Amino acid sequence: MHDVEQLRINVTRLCRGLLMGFLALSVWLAYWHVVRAPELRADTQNPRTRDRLKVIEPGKLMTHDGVTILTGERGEEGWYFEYPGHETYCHLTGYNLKTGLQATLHDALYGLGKYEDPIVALLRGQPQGCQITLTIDAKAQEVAHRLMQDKVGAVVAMDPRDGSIRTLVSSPGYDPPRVLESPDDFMIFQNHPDKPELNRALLGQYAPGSVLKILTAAAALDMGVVKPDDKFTCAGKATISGSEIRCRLPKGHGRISFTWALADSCNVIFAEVGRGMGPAKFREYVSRFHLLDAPALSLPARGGRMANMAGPKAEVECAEAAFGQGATLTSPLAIARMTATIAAGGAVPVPKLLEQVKSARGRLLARLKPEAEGQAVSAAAAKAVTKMMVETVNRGTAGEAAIRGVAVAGKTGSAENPTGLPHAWFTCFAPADNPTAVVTVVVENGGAGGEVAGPIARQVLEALLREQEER
Amino acid sequence: MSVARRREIVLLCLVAVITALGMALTCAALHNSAVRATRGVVPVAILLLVSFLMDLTGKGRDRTLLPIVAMICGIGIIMLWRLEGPRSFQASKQIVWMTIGAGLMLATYLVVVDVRSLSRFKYIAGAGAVLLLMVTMIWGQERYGARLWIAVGNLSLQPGEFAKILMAISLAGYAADRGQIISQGGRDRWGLPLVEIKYLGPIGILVLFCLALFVTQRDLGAAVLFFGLAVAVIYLSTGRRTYVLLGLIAFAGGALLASNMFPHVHRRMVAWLYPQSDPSGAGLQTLRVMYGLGEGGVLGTGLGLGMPQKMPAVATDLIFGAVGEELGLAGTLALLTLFAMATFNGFMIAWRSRDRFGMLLAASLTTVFALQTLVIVGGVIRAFPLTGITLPFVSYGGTSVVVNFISIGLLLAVSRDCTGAPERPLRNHA
Repeated sequence: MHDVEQLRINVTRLCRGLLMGFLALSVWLAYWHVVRAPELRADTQNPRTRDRLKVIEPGKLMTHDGVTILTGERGEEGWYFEYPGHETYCHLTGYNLKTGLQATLHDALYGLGKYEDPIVALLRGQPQGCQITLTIDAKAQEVAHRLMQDKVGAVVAMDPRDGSIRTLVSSPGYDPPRVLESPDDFMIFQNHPDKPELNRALLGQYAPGSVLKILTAAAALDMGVVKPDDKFTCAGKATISGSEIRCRLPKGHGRISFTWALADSCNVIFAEVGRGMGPAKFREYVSRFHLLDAPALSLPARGGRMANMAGPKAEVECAEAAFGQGATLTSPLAIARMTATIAAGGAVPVPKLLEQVKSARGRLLARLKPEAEGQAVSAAAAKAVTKMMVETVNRGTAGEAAIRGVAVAGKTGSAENPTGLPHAWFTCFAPADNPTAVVTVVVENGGAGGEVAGPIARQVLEALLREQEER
Repeated sequence: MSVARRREIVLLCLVAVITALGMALTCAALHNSAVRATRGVVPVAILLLVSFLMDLTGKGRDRTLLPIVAMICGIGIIMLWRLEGPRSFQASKQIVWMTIGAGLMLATYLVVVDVRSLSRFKYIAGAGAVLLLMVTMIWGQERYGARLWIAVGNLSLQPGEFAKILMAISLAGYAADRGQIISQGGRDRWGLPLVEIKYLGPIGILVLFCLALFVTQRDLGAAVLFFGLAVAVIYLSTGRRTYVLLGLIAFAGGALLASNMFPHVHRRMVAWLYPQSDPSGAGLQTLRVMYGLGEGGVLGTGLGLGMPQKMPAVATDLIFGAVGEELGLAGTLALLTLFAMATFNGFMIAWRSRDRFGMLLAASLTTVFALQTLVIVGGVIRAFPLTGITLPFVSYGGTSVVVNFISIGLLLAVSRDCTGAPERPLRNHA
């Protein structure tokens, strides 16, 4: 019997050993189920991620005035996106889940993450996408898109009162469904020299040219170093710290007021005013306008850059920057924002693209809150620059933007660049005494700003003002 | 009616209720016919019937094993039903196999009146195991890269599965006869009873032969099982941990060698350690299971609400991953606990047995069962490389289900013999 007893002990030990194996596997299971689970669920290689989206009814993207630009359709393989706005809104919608607002508003469009209905999440039901309203004005967007058809460039319109973006057009564009349809059409992106996938309105980097004189004028008036009626002399060219600066008119403007220097876009006088302010002070105003900051939007955006004006060439760099040349590069949105700052009496509006997000059950999840990032210049200085810009439209270079019965404030720009004709700029707002709309246009290699960009800006402005009258 | 018998019936009824609930939930999620779902209770009902029929020949036997097995079967049927496509009837087929298996379990229990009589067949059983494995070598069909199946009419069988039982009988019989010599004769040298190694010869030859067969058939999971069984039997009869240690070292060396010699073993190793290196090939299974476990989290997506179809071979080898996705950590731990309970119960039967052979047979069969569970679950959840074997009573597969039922029948037969065994708590021997 001793032998059986011994065997029994061995059975016990073997049993214990194997049960330890079960225990070890339990711990290992908990590791995967709990510790690694979030990472596994977020893994893009996870085939569930793609398929999960096919069973969720996605939400909609709508413009401010109720036009649907992105919506879900149900096909045989599940839900997919339709693009009713086609090319007009391509840079807003994007063409797949990795581009445009489809990428940045992904969770909201599918009702996932922080947009997931807590009750639905608790019951592990199917999420439903949110209804997202953009600040975009469909009529102005369509006008801008039509006018930019055969041009390369961008149009940005903004409401200076709350920073909401009314128009966001980049040209050339593309038709999202056609890009998705076939790999050949996808090659548009690879082969097209004008990069249709690039959203120039937010990411384009252009020399601003004379439109930057708005900032210089406002800063100089704010500092009190000049007054609108002060007289300056332009001899056609000037030498600053050994570098020669040429004016638009080779013979010079002669003796003119500061207002007229803006209205007729005199480089020499602005270079002098910029130098008079000093690089440090000029730089300070640039940062007060947030000109070089990348604004936080729902889409990727870039601000701009400028010579740092600290070295031995600081004075020249400052003088060049003061009339928009030199190393300065900005995006169309940054210029629109700068213009909106003047229109808003010196307060820097924060650009916004989302008006509201509503859950599928109609609960308001987010809504636009107007914000300002400090005061760039005093209200009086902004008012004075506005008057100068109205003069620019009424009698100066920006005449193309004049609208009968409305005081329009505007500024042209023809930015020298290494790739051919100057980039044509135009930035304006109206009505001048109570601004509600800002429009900025840039046409790459378009030539003179007033002639090419001006009419586009005027028609977009008209569309926006008409829209507001009807409201 | 004895207390133990009533408990068995109550537990089986409870299993039936739980299974029916699971089937109902699955139906609701998948919009299946509720009438068809009632079939899920069939295996439990049959086990209840089997329990009555077993009792006709006498009342003394283990009363816990059947309810545990029934619950595991129930979970298996629910999962297979959930994974069924529009034109596959795996759950229904599995119910048929379970019925056959339960019948054979009953037959085994009734035929093997005295378990000790089986020890007479130890050499025949050993030869039979070798023969069964050779059969697949000659007439076998290769599927999924392994030669494990033979076709009999419309059915395909895995003879290797039967070999597991025969091998357990053979090893238990041999160790029961020679055990006394093994554990008492000879001197120790370096902690090893060197003299008796010659008595282990037949075991070694048998095991090596089977291993060679398995390696040539590329059935590494079964090779691991056989090796583990041999080490367990040697440990049981000598009580020396050194043999287990030597076994583990030999195993690690063998695995390393196999990884260098066989490309398919190497692929498995790479897939285990670096699944990302070949995410669409060898690493696919591993990665897909991990995603499933992550999706399940603690409570699971719910029956019918996950996407376990994203895992390859989900109804057979990887079914544990499907449990992980839809029932979560709660479900996998529950299932693992059931397997651990069955293992514990099997060893309890061995422990209570009054003779060496019964004890060794029960322990061997339970070891195979436990090792099979550990190897496949550990492989699925990436604790070690994946080897393609079935999860007992859960994976789809006729032979596996039938063979596992037969070995439960043998265990119950052992448990019948040992009523009246010393009722001392197990821990006294710790």
